[in-house]
Amino acid sequence: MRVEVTRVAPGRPFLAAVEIATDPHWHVYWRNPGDSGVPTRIAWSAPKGWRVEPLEFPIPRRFAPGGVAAYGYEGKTFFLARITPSTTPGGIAAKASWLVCSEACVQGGATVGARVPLGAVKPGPYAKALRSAHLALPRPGAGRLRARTGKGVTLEATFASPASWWKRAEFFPSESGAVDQAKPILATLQGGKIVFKMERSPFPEQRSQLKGLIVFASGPRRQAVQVETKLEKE
Amino acid sequence: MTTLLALAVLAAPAVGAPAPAFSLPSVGGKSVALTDHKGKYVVLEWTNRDCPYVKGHYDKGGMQATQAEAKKMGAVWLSICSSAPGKQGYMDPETYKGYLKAQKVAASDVLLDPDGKVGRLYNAKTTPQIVIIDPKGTMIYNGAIDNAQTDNPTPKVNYALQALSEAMAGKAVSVPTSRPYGCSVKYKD
Repeated sequence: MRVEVTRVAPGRPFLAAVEIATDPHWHVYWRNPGDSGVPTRIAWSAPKGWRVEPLEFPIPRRFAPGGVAAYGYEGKTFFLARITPSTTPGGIAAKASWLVCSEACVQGGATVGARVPLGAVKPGPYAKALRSAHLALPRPGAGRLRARTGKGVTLEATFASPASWWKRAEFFPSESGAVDQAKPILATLQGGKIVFKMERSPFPEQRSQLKGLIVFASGPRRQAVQVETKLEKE
Repeated sequence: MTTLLALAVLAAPAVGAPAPAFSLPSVGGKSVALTDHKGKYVVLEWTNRDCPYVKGHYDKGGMQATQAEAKKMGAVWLSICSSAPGKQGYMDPETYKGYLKAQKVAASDVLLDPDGKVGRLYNAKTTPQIVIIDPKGTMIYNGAIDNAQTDNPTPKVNYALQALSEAMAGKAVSVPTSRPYGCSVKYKD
């Protein structure tokens, strides 16, 4: 457990995170684990009257061990929550469970906690790291979206101020059952318009919405916007 | 013609379409073909003894009970191990025999697919993953063994037994596909 501040005050939100660190070539999973795996789960608890808002999971990466697609995280990852204390003193805790895989898979879990005494709010040693992790989270996308399903699935996104220097845009569906995830879902960037052409999922589920992330990348820099739109029938 | 062949290879078998034919050696050393069981319901179960999700199903006896129930209903249960040599879950037939006995595996046959041909033919993604084929050879279910990984699994549903009993009663299968969960199949690189 990593906490932004060493002391907290009622009504003043702070960031806390469960940090999961994997060995090289091992990964834990995103909310949508892809075509194998199991989502990482974090259940937060806090004293009475405290407000706990689990935040979005960080931008995932795509792995394909043995050709089976997985969405998740390798190395150190913060799973963040924003917590607003009440006047009740006490600590915070989080129960985490995960499946970690490379060639093999191992189930894991831990309950971690932190003492966060009430007092004068001061940034702690993890303040900077947690704030930058917070800034790097996927954000709500301000753009026009249209998704159609027929033989395949097409997602069109138009953003008002496209960052022309992004070299690559990839779609990460946040729910399974809508589109095929076996191969990377890549778009060609045409000015402000981004078009993803996808196959339907081999494990189709009834979906009226297409939800996911559009992840823009240029070299190691990545930024993600959340998209959610009605899935129209073609 | 080449293009058509390539497409045929790429297209994963889907629910409602004919299940592709295959033949594999069993742990016991005989050759088992899908066509051997024509006229019966056939359940395919992808397995890997060391995958924690597979272990979870076997250590508590749940998978064996499902296998026994499916056989009681008249279905043939074929467990398939597509782990490549050197990968998790691969065992030589002698070691595998010991495991089947110790774990009281109740499958009709356990088939070895070390080069992953049949796993890839069926586009099997995870262990466990279940495929069900009806007596006419049509795939009627492809997905998870149960709904344990859905957000709120109440009531608990065993998708394999549900699909079998619905199809045997002449009803449409209410959940014909679901996202299979667990470890990725440990195919040859």
